[in-house]
Amino acid sequence: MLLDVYAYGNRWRYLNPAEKGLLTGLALVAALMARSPLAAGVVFACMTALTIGGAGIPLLAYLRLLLFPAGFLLAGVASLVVSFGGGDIPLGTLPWVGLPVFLSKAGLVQAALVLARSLGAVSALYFLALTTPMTEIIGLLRRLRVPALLLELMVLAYRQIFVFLQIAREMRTAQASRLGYGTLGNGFRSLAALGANLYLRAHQRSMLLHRSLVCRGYEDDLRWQERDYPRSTRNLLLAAALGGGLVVLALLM
Amino acid sequence: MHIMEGFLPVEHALGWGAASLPFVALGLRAIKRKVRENPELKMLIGVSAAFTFVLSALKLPSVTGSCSHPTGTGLGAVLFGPLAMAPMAAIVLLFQALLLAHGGLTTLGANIFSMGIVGPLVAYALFRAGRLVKLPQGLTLFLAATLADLATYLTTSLQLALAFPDPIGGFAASLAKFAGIFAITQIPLAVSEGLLTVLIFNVLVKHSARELHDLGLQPAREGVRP
Repeated sequence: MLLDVYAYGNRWRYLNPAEKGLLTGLALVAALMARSPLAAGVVFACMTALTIGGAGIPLLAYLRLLLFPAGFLLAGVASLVVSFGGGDIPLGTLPWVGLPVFLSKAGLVQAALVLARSLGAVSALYFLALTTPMTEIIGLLRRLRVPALLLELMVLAYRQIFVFLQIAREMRTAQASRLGYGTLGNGFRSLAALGANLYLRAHQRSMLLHRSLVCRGYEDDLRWQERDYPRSTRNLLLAAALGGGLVVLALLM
Repeated sequence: MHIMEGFLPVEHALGWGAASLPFVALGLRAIKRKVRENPELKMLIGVSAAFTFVLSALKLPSVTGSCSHPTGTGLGAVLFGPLAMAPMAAIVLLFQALLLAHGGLTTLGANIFSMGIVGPLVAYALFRAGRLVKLPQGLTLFLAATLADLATYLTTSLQLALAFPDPIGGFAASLAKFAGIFAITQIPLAVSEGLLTVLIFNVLVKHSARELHDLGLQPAREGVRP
């Protein structure tokens, strides 16, 4: 269900996260700066090829992931394409209000660009999310001088997410098997009980966590060990060249 | 409502990031100060970020047939205060982008602004105002959570309209289009979330007054020491 199932077991898992981060960052810049749908399409093709061909993410899983933002994309693009009161191609009138709806040509051009940019950026995001575990991304953020407190909170939260997902799933199954979600009203009541219980568990867990840390000599900040990655100048240069190439391409095409 | 990865142009992505940054920094400073007085609070906030993430991954019972998820904005603002919400939202939104492909890295700033700043501020202000004029707690909470969701959705529509003004009608027409299309999912969501927040809070008040007392929301019951 979560993307990081793949992050822990792909061919590029043990590459230095700095290399993957650099490429993702540059690809995101390229996707956003793209002047034409074609340039953004190149970013998309490139990052998708690396994710599937390089890191070895299954094609079907990747395609299913691409459907995730479809709802937003559809609604967002629809808003760009239609215009009220004036446009190029009349579509009809809105019921109830009687407003004429038009398809606008400028809107279509803009929508195509936004669609391509979004897909390009999404492919860059997926590249990072599917090849690099969260712990390594947090390590990368530390090297980028993100405040230590924020990183500590992230580490704490990341670990507990899986604990709570498990608890929530079990509670939901227990409720559903007693017809807790049979009617709308019961559904709300069940979900509220689940949410409140989950909060209670979270609260108790945080207190236990604190106590157990104090027992181990915790004073002010959390420390944890990070894996050492081989530093490869060649890979870093490759990532910079590919990412830089995409940015240049985006500005020219 | 999350704006997806790559949907905003560069200048807007950077601009909203710059707008959100001071709030996140301010929130972190407030958390740091509170943690110095009360060291357990760090764990509580970290674990609560995980709670918010999991809550937002649950499916709401559907009224209209569309699938929607609670945002936890109202509940979070009432439980932890609006200041702590900006850094928490930053963490939750980053996790949602990287683990659920929901939202994005380039739109993180814009999403923090709508969900971690505007929403919680509205919720908290309404919650305090409701307590001040002594509205029933259920009604206060419902209004706070519902209007926080609506404020978030309007902020998102505003962000989209600013980025993509209509070629004929300009900003206002574009705002009407985005707000109109997303209203189909967002207005039922706001009402559902309002209801859910009241129900969750009722259960909490009934069974965990002590935990709420830790957060300074409820007077502790007689004989129960936090």
